[in-house]
Amino acid sequence: MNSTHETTGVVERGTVKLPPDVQLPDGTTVRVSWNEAEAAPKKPYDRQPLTEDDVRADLAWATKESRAT
Amino acid sequence: MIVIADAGPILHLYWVDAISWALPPQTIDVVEPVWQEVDKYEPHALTDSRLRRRVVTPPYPAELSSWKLDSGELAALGYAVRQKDTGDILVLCDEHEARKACSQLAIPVVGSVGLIVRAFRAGRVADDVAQTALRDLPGRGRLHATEALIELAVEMLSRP
Repeated sequence: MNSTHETTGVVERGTVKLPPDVQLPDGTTVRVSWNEAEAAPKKPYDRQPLTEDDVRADLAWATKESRAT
Repeated sequence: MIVIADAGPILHLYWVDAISWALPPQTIDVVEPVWQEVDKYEPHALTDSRLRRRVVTPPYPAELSSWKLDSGELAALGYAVRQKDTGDILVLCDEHEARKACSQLAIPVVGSVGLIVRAFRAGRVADDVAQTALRDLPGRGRLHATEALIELAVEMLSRP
């Protein structure tokens, strides 16, 4: 008897990641549906973009040898 | 060391699944308006046991009026200015204007990018996990940064 199963995954870097308990054999045909509103990229949380100086300052902090944190 | 967080790094790191290893491994003070801001977006992020809720009351130091800061940044930096005399401090912040204020006030500041790179260099996370988290920051992490700037940080992971 044929039975259809359904699960929900998340797209990460263009690939659908399924829950670990879902094991599909190669060649299985799957149907994918998604919500357009959810798929739209969300706007940045911060008001202003980080500058190159901001990022370089972060990297300088992160690579300082005596850093305790 | 007193570490004080703005909402940005907590949220960005939570959104890229890096909060557990990228936040500094110590108590992190979160002032009330910042706590409420994080709670509005991701209440679960606040279950991290390192985060300590702190109440700060205005008025904030007058020198902070030179910058356009939101209520959370104002409270966090106000708290930082008051703590400056009690020992070393570090502010976690990804908002450009607030970072500028920190620099001018000689308050050490670092954001999500630096925290991820630091966690890798401290051996708290593997190279591939740190790389993925960095590259996810502008997308699902909602950090306002270009991919080119993120690549600067990714490159840093491979340097001795």
